[in-house]
Amino acid sequence: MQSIGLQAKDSDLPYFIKMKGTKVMSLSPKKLEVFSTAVFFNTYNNRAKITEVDIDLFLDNRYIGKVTNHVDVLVHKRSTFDVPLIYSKESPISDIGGLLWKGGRLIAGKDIKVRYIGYIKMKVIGFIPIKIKFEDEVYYSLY
Amino acid sequence: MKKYFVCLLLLLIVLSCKNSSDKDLLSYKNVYGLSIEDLDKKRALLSAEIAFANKTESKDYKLKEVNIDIIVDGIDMGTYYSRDIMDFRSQSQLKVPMKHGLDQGKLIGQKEKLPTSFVVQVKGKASFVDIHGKVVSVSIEHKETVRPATTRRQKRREKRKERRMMKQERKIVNEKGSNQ
Repeated sequence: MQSIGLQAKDSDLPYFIKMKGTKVMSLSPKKLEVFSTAVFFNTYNNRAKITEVDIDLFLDNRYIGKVTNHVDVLVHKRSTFDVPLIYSKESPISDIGGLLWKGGRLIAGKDIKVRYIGYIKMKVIGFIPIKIKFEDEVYYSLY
Repeated sequence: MKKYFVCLLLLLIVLSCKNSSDKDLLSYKNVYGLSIEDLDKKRALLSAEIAFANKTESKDYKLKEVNIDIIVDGIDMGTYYSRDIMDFRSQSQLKVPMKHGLDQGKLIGQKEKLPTSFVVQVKGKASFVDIHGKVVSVSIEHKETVRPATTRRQKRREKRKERRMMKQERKIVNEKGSNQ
């Protein structure tokens, strides 16, 4: 890797820092929308481009779906970069009772656990693929 | 049995007091020299120095990480993150330099004129570790109005813009005069 100008060591690959701005925008049997931003650090001295996002979303330990859409994010050299994760689906799951229960809990002021497990793939200098795995959970409450 | 319980309770109280005093003795002081430069470039540069104080009598720490969210005029401008290890000796101050690139498009948006000031909010935490591996987190919060540094290139651009505007105005006036 050193020979083509990458200055990060194998042990110093780009890594996940934290999740921020997690919001459950809509939680009803008709629509489910969860927004969040994953923050990563590009350890390389080169720019990169995100090519793939594959993240499983869980609400209170229940699998909801996959976040695969990604916005074009400029990844600058040796700096942090934000990847917005947007999950939006009409008539999301068959378990309406469970969903209503979660919605009721949110309104009552309790928090729900939002968990993300997956990876992002990016290409450094246009062709070197890098995969960053991550797992994180956030407790979200309305108030 | 009762005696042991009382001893254990006392020990716990002493330990908790010791921990809390450590946290109090390691503190965030201020953010100095907050400035925005290179506003005419695609990526403007926000730089500052974050100061911490170590008031412990004989306990040295090492800076483990700094994790700060940067908000400018209410817009999230990303996160500054650093894992650079720095020594933090007892009875001393530590100034951590911070440099963060700001996306010009996000910063200025579709405003016609360059803003003369920005409200910069810095929010996050720094983690320190002692020789035994105990981690102490210190939260950072600072808000300041910053006037961006104007560069020569910027001034020249503004002058050129003014001249262009004057020319256009003159043209319009001349056209009106010739029509009459």
